[in-house]
Order: sequence, then C-alpha cells, then structure tokens
Amino acid sequence: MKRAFERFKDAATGRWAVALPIYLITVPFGAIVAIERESAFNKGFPLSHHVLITTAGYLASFLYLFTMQATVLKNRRIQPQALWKCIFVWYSTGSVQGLASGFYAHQTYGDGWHLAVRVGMPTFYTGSALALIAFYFGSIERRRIEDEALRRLDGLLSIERGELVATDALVRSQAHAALDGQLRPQIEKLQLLLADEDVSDHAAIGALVKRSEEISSALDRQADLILQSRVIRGEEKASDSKPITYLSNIFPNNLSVRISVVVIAFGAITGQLPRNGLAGVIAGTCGALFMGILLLGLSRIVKRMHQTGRVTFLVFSYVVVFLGQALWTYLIPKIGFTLNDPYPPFYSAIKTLYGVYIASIISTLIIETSTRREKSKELSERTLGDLTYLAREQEILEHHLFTTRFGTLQGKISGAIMALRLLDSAAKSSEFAQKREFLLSEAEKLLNDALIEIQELGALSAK
Amino acid sequence: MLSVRSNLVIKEIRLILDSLPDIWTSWKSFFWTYPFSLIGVLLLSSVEYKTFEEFLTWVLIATLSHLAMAPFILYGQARNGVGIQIFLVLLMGITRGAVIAILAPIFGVVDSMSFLFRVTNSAVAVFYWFQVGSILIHFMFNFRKDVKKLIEESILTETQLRNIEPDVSSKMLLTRISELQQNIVRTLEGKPTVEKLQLRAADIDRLIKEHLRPLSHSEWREGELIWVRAGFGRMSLTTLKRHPIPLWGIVALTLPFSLVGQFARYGGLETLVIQSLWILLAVVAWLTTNKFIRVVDGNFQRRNILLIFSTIFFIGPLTFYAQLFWPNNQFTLGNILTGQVLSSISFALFCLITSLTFSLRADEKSVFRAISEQIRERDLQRYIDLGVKSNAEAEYAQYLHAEVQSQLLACKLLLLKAAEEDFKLFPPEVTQQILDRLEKIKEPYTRPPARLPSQRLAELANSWRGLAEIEYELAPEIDDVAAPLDVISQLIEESVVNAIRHGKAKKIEVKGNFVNGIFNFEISDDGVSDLVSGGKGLGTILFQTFASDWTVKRVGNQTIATFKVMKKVSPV
Repeated sequence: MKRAFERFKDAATGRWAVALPIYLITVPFGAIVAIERESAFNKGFPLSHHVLITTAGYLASFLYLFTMQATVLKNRRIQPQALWKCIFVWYSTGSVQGLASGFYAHQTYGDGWHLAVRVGMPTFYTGSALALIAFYFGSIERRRIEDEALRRLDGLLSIERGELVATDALVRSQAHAALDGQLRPQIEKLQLLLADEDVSDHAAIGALVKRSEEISSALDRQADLILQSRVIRGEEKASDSKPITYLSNIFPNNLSVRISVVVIAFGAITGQLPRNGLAGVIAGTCGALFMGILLLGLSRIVKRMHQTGRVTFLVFSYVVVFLGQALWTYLIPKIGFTLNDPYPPFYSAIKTLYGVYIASIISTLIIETSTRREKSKELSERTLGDLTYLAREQEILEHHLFTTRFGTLQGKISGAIMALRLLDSAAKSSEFAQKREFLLSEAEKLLNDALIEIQELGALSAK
Repeated sequence: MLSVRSNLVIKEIRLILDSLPDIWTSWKSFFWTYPFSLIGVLLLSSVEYKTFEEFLTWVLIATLSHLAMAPFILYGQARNGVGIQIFLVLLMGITRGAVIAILAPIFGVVDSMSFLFRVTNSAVAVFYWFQVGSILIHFMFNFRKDVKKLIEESILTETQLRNIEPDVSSKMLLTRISELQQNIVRTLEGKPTVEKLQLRAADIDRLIKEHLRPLSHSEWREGELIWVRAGFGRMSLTTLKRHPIPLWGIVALTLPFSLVGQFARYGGLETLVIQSLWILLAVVAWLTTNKFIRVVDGNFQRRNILLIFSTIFFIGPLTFYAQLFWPNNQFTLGNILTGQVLSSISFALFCLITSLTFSLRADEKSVFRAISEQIRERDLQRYIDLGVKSNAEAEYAQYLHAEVQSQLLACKLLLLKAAEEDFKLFPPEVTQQILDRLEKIKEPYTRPPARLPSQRLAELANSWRGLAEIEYELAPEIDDVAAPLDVISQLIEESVVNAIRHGKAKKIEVKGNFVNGIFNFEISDDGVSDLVSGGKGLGTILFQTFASDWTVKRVGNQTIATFKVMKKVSPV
C-alpha cells in the first residue's frame, strides 16, 4: 500500500501534476455530465442555457487551473511538488467550476445556487480526473524520460567505446610488435646457442632446450591471444528511434482492462450519484465489473492476435464494448436495481466507449514506453559492459607492454643467453668449468621464471 | 488534366504549409489582432445598437473575450511546432467565442449568433488572424535572427553553397559583405590580437543589425529587396508582380473552415450549394484570367489583380444573389451583405498575404544564398581558427571546447549514476534537466584524455592561462586508480570554472587530501562568486549527486568552496 502511494506521489507531483492539453481529454465526459446535471435542476430551460452555464464553469476553472499551475505549481518542471499542494489545486479546480456555474446560473437566469451538487460533484470529478491524469501521464512521462536518458547515455558511452576500440587496436598492435620485435629474437638467439651445445653431454642442456621450446610456443600462444579480442559490436542503435508521442497512439494497439474498469467506475459514480443516488452508484459499479470481465476476455484474444488481424479485432471489440454496456444499462431494472432516472442504453454505451478508448490509449502508451525503456536499458548495459571490458583489457595490455619492453622478462632471457655464452667460455677456460653446473641450473631457473611470466600474461589476457 | 490540377493543388498546399512559422501564438500577434477582434464582434454581434451604452457594452465584451486568449499566448509561446500551435489557436478561438456568448447575458445584451455559431465563427476567425499575423511577424522580426544563425552555421559547419548566382536584388548587401570580408582578410594578414578579432566579430553583428533589418531601417527604402519598399500598398503590388496567387492551395486549405463556419450559420444544403457555386465560379475566373492575360517577363501583376477583382466583383455578387433568393432564408439583406463583404475582403487579404509570404520567402532565400556565396569557403572558419590558435588561453577557446566538453562529461556522469540506481536517485524532472542540457549542446562528445585529477587540473590551468591563475596541491592518493577519478576531476573542474565564470576570479587554489576513506577538497579564489549551493543548475545537481558534503562561503576577500567525496561514491 505504502509502495503504491509512493508510486502515485512520484508520478503525480512532478511535471504532470498539471498538464493542460491532456486535461482536455476529461472535458467531454465532464461537460456532458455537467449538462445532464444542469438539465435536472431546471427542466424548463432550453439546452443552450445549460450549455452556457456549464461553459461558464469550465472557462472559470480553466483560468483558475492556468493561474495555479503558473503560480502554486510553477516549479513542477524542476522538482516534485508537495502532495498537498497538488491535491489542493486538483480539487479546488472542480470547486471553482461548480461555483462559477452556480454564480452564472443564478446571476443570468435567476436559477437557484444548488451548491451542494453544483460544487460537490465537479470537485469530486475534476479533482479525481486531474489526479488520475497526473498519475498515469506522470508514469508514462517518467518512462519516456528514462528511455531518453538511457538512449542519450548509450550515445555518449558508444562514443567512448569507439575511442577505446581504436586505442585497443593500437595497444594490441604495439604489444604484438613488442613480442615479435623484442622477445622473439631473444628466444631465437637462445635456441641458436643451444643448437651448438651437445644435448647428450648433459641432461641440464636438454632441459634448457625443452624450456626454450616451451617458451617459444608460449610466445606463439601469447601472440595469438593478443590478436584475439572479444568482438565488440559496432554502433548499435535502438530498434525503434521514432519518439512515442501521445498522438502516435491515437489508435491504441491494446485493450485496457484495469484502467478501463477504473474509468468506468469513476464515470458511474460521477454520473449516477446526483442522478440516482447510491443505488445508481452500485448499479454503475456492478456495470464496471461486468465490463471488466468482458474486456478481460477481449483483451486476451487481442494479445494473441497478429498485427494484421489485430486492428480488425480491436474495432470489433469496441463494437462489443458498446453493445455490452448498452445491454447492461438495459438490463439494470430487470435484474433488480430500481433507478429513478436511468440512462438511455445507447447514450450510456457511448460514454463507456469513450472511457475505454481513453483508457486503452493510456494503457498502450504505458506498455510501449515500458518496453522501449527496457530495450534501451539492455542496450546501455551492454555498452557499459563493453566499456568495462575494453578498459580492463587496455590495462592488461599496457601491463603486458611494460613487462615485455622494460620488465624482467627480457632480463631473464638475456640472463639465460649470458649463461650459455659463459658455458662456451667454460669449455675454453678452467675458471668457468667449475661453475658449469651452477650456470646451467641458473639458466634453467631463469628460463623457468620467464616461462611462468609469459604464461601469467597469457592467463591475464585470456580472462 | 485532373492529375495535373491535383498536383498543382498539392504543390500549392505544400508551399503554404512550408511557409508557416513554428510559433503562431505571440504577444505581437495578440495585440495586432485586437482591432480585428473588436471590429468582428461589433459588426456581427448585434443587428442594431439601440443605445450608445449597448455599443460600449459590446466593446467591453470584445475586449474581455480577446483578453481571455492571453493565457494561451503565455502557454504557447514556448511551444514550438505547427501541430500544437494550430491546436492552441483553435482553442483560443473557441474560448474567445465562448466568453462572448457567456458575457452577453451577464451584461444584459443579446448576441445575434447562437452559441455554436459564435464559437465556430470565433475559432475560424482567430485561426486565420493568428496564421496571417504569425507569418508577417516571422518575416518582420525573425529574419535577422535567421541570418545570424546562417552565418554561425556557415562558420561552424563549413557550409559550402557554390555556383549560386546571387540575386540582383541583394546588390547592396553584397557590397557590405565584401567590405566585411576585406576587413577580415586585412586583420588576418597581420598578427591579430583578441581586440582586433573581437572588432571583426562585432562587424558581423553590425552587418546583420544595420543591413538585414526588414521594414525598419531607412536605408532599406533605397534598396531593392521587397520589404524595404515600406508601405503596404507598394509592397503588395510588388508581391503580386512576382508570384502567381496560389489560388487552389488557398481554396483547399480554407475550405474546411469555410464549411464549418457556414454550416453553423446557414445549414448543410445551403452551404454545399453556395460553396460549390463559389468554387465553380473561381475555376471559371482562374481559367479566364490564365487564358486572356499573358505573363510578360515573369510579371504576374495584371493576372493576379484581375483574379482578385473577379473574386470581389463577380463571384461575390453572384453568390450574394444566390443566398438572397435562397428559399426559407432567415437572414436579412444586411446580414448577408455583411457576411459577403467580410468573406470577400478576407479572401482577397488571404491571397495577398500568401503571395507576400511566398515572395518574402523567395527573397529571404536569395539573401541567404548571397551571403553563403560571399562568405568564401572557410574564410570565416580560418578567421576563427586563427583567433583561437593565437589566443589559446583565451575565454573563447575554453568556451568553445573545454567548457562544453566538461558539461557533456558532467551529463554523462549524472546519467550513468542515475541509470545505475535505476533512476531512483533523482526525480524525472532532474533527469529531464540533464537531457535538456544535452539537447542544447550541439558539439559532439569526446572522452577526456586525462582521467587523473592532477592531470585534469594541469589541463585546466593551461586552458585558463591568461585569464586566471590556477594552483593546486593534491595528495597522491587522489590519483589512485581505486578512487572515483572522473567524479573528483569533474567536481574540481566545476568549482574552478564556476569561480572564473561567475565569480570573475583571477587566482584559484585547489587543495585536496585523503583522510579515513574520504577525499576532502577546498577551492579558494579571489572572486565574488554567488553561493552556488542555492542554484538549480547542472552544477548543483552534480554536487548533490556526488559530493557527500559541500559548501560555498565567503571568508574575508575570498570565496571558499569545499566538498567531500567518499571513496566508494561511484564506480563510474
């Protein structure tokens, strides 16, 4: 519950706390109900009077809402606003509408004020409609902004990745060149010297030959590893970069169930309460549940359909919704609800159709923005993964390069070469002859160390 | 034949739509349309005014209904895009009409129109007024801005428009640009100082200000461009000379609104008959003028004038009689006459304004072409490059690259952090602010070569040399690879740039140490910086996101900014 409240607060108190153009979608239903209300107050007035009274209320409330969003909620684009401020603006807009209608009716046509109904119902309807709009469109907008942020981030990261890929190629070629130009000649020199030695002469020489061969093949493996780089994908754009606008979903692709039930129930309360009292509200709410079950079935079929047949079935679904609501309204008195002033079935069906249509637009927008956000998130995470990989790889290669060029590797192989040269000298001089064993074992030790170091480099690169 | 005609209609519609500016709702349009709004209400509201008081009441109602459109102007002037502007203008018209309808009974007067007709009529009228007003305002006031943008773009993107013959009409302008070019070349030949370069930059501004200002400067009266021949009559005649009236485009675009307006007043059948008759007569008039009036040397004046005259004196009277003798006509002779006169005048004005728009747009293009031609390839680019090179330390260089890059990096760090936290770190409004900033920066992002704070500071000190002296003393741990290097570097840079830009600091000292897993920084300067902690910009968001504790305070003659960064602040 608390989480749901937090979600509502996060979505509804920001930029979309008041969205004037979106608010207009609630006007047709609100205005029709208001005209119905006015007609009930004074049945002798012509329709134009009811229209003018309603218009006066709406114009005053527009002006009030405009002033409020420019003053009380002026910072909503920068930071979320206090919830109480938003609730005050939402509900007081409805009150202003009712008061203005009452004033106009009284002043111009001498009608009674009827404040309880004239102010009460618009306060409930307009306040709740504004709150619902703020929540739904705030949620859509949040996803849209996050998707945009992830796309932008991916764009920036892709630039970095491009630069790192270029640097990676450069560092790899440098490391490869260092291996070929500096280490391999040393090993070749070593193997040349060992070729002159008589292997049968001493087992240690045989071990040195073996080590040198191992080092040579380790270098080959290492060279291969340097050249092998994980394939980094090139510039990858999100599959659909066309922005999702409110108009782009003017023909919704889904049939909403939950939002539709909320909208129909809300409409039922607004329309039925002043007209038929509590019995009307209960009948309307049951109707919303009935429509919910109908919509659930239809929406499941819609989801399973391919795009081509989907459009046709959606149109068919709206026809079913229309007929379903008309049937329910027709059946209300027959199933035990006694209403003083029931709605004509087809009139009620038109209002429900409008509600389901608006709910489906909202639902489609929520689904599309969520799907797109997830895709963008996946994309930017992959780019970030590439970046991390490339940055780590570069550190390893730079370490590799350093070890190859300036590290102990060269020193160790050079030491072994030196030891072999001394062996040659030992054959000619008795001074070194005594140290022959020592020199051979030291050379082997150096080569062992070199081999381990090369293998470690390989292990790092292969990680 | 039919396909040729439909192509012509589509072409003309497209031309008209292309000419529509992005903003229709402006205060200028609002004030300029007030007289029309007033006259419209006074002419169409009451059949006859019984008293002067009643007349004054209608003046008041007209004024209040016009004022009711003001909130839409406030709301709409920051929202670009023809779609939203059309929507707003239609809402404005509906509101104005509704206000007239609801005020009349309050003030005890009777509106001769029904509520529906009043609202529809107002919506249509306001739509046309603001459309025409926005077109005129665009050419009268925004042209200079567009030229400046073109010059800037030609500098930044090296626009090359070759082999374009400058229009003869742009002779005077070309002379001025040639003078300016010679000036620039002379400056570049020597060793240009910052002051000289600034003078040349001012020359560009002056050129635009003094010589590209339509309908305002006396010099232009002597020139050849259309709008310089100030005076509506002469300008209109010139316009009619140069372009044929896009009659079919106008008819196609105005038809839906005419139909809506007339349906509300006369009913469906009468509207269909009258409109069909009108279009039929217009076809006859158009074919006749095309057949009998030849266009000599591209001069359409006679043909266009005849077409407008035939609309007013031939089509108007015929449709007037058709309406007058319509069975069950509920309108008086005066009513019909007023409607006819107003619609004829509106149509003639619309023809004139549309032709004027085409003409102005064509001339605007010729001026743009002329400028593009005269800015020799890369001349201005070279001028800017040399300026930058010879004054590497100057504010110019910093602004053009380093600062923009710094902002891009700040945005990247913030977005990365937000994404890591699955956007729970700050509300969407703040994310939107970061996106807005990114949107404004046109320069592409490049990864900073130096990540280590000490290296970034060295670069920073170098780029601001000459304007500010930056000294620093950082503990070695700060360059440790385990530290959040990008974040630290960015926060230091933000503080330093803020001190120079906003505080006009000349001497800045950066100190940093590392104690108990926390990096502490102090940036002191001799500037008079505003205390940024109260701001709401990108810098503030950056500090709020990454610094665990940050302050800006004045101590004596110095401004001291301090902030702390935890070692584990972010893996970015």
